[in-house]
Amino acid sequence: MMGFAALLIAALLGYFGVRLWLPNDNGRSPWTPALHASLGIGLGLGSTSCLYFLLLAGGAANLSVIVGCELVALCTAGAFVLRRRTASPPGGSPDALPSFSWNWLAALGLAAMLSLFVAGFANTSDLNPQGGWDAFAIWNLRARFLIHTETWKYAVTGLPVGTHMEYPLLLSSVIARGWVYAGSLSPIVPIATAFVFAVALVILLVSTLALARGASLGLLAGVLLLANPSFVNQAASQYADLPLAFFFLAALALIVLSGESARPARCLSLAGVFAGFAAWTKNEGTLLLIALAAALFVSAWRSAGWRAAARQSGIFLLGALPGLLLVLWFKMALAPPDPLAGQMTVNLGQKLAHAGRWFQVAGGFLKQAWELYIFPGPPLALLAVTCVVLRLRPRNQPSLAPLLAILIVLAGYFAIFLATKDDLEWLFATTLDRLYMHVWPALVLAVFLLLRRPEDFAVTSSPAKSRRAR
Amino acid sequence: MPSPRQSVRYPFWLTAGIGGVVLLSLFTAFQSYRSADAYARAYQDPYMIHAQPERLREAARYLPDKAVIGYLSNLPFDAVPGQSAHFGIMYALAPRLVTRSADSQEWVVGNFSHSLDYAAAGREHHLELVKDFGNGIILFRRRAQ
Repeated sequence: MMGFAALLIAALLGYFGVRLWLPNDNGRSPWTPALHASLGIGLGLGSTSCLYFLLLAGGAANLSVIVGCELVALCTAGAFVLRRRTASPPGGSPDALPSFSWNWLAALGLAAMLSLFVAGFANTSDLNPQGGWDAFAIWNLRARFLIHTETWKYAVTGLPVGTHMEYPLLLSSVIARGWVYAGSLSPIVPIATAFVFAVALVILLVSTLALARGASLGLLAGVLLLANPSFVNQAASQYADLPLAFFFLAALALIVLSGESARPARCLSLAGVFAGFAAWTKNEGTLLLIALAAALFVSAWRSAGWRAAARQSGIFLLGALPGLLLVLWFKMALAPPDPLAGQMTVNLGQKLAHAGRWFQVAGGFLKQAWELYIFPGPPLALLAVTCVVLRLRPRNQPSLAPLLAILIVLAGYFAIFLATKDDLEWLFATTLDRLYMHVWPALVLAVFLLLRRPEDFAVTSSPAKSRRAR
Repeated sequence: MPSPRQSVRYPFWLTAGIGGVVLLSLFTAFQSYRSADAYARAYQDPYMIHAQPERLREAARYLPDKAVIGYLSNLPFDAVPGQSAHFGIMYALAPRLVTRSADSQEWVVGNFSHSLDYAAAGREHHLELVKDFGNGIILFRRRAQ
């Protein structure tokens, strides 16, 4: 029970934090609490992970200190939220059109998909509570070292143990904190953590699109997100890839919502915080952070000039600064050297000059994308069908930042594959599925932002003319 | 905003298209649920990680709580069985740290897939056998130099 209390306290703390951080732009929309709750789960788990790790490194991470710090923060944030409760501004639906009368179909579909996800997750977790290879060999193993102030340095040891002690520690710290609350190494803690991140990811995507483009697109996007067979597999594996995908999506969602916010700086700074958490989750998170900052800069430059671009990127990076500093300290002072960084430079020129290697990497990326996302796994095919049905919006104000960020991330992964000395076939088989999952929720968001809404095809009978698409 | 008298309709192709996407997604999710269930049943704890804490319960009582422990096995680390066997021991004995070497720590856990002369295996690393737990788990301690 105390393991669940750890998750609940983190989620509440994050929820209050998001309520205080974000402006009340869509106060009356029923999707605003869902957005705040999903972002709050990420903010709460990320910030309590950082706090726990700092307390651990400072030698003060015992249950009473942790609970004390968190309860003080919770009460303070709760009090500020209560004081801040003011009349909500008018808002809600993106426009005055009546909502799509077939929304019930997408809502029913999403409920059924979520039920299948929960059943699949529970079943797999029941049969394999230890999770997949990386869970017991990296994330949960290192979490076991992080439960004591005397043993936490084993999680960053340079001794030969055959695992990646140089990886960042957000997920392991979240799990260790849960075990400290629970008072035992219960397998329920990593299972519940994986479940909470996955469900929060779905709610985040649905609520972001519902607020930005209407409930019909939000619900349909949730259905497509869950149509990816890898989603339930990776969630039940207890890997760090879904939490990473969550933080990437959260940052992108806030960048998108900042465009319609009365106080965009608040959205952008919180987006930066989530990008910082991504860097504290996995090494790839630093690439995601760079991609987000670059995409934000370019899209802002196109729409508002370089001064606005520099300002927006600066605010974003300011939000990311605490997470980045933590990662920097971790990498410079604590973690053993990253073997990937060393091998990148070995024969780099030779690898890059070898045309066959480019084709081999491109072929591997495309083959895995085909098999996982088109046939037999069809989520990308379903996304394409949705594009055919709903069609692209006219090019008035397309939000290019998400697509650009995804392209930069994929280009980064491609470059890493080009430069690595590891066996490419082994990498294709064991890592691409997880790397694609980092960008899948963001891709669904990016594509749905470019589509028309079902409401745009409404035909009003009096006067008998169809509404112009937006 | 449409007046109360206006009724709003949607083209058939739109509702059929969205309905089709939802149904295909549901079909995909159901198929993936079935295949994930079959896979999980066929490969339940494939690396025997979940079974290790029970296997090591008695040996763990002999080991210091938060120490660095050595490891000795007949399974090589360059193959999956050897790696998973080591991770299973690490996972079960954590927060103790179990390294991949038998040559530097005072306490060394032996993990063997078949019976052999454990004492001789230990002697090669200047270890003496402390206890054979009868399930492939052997406890060694470094001999005083």
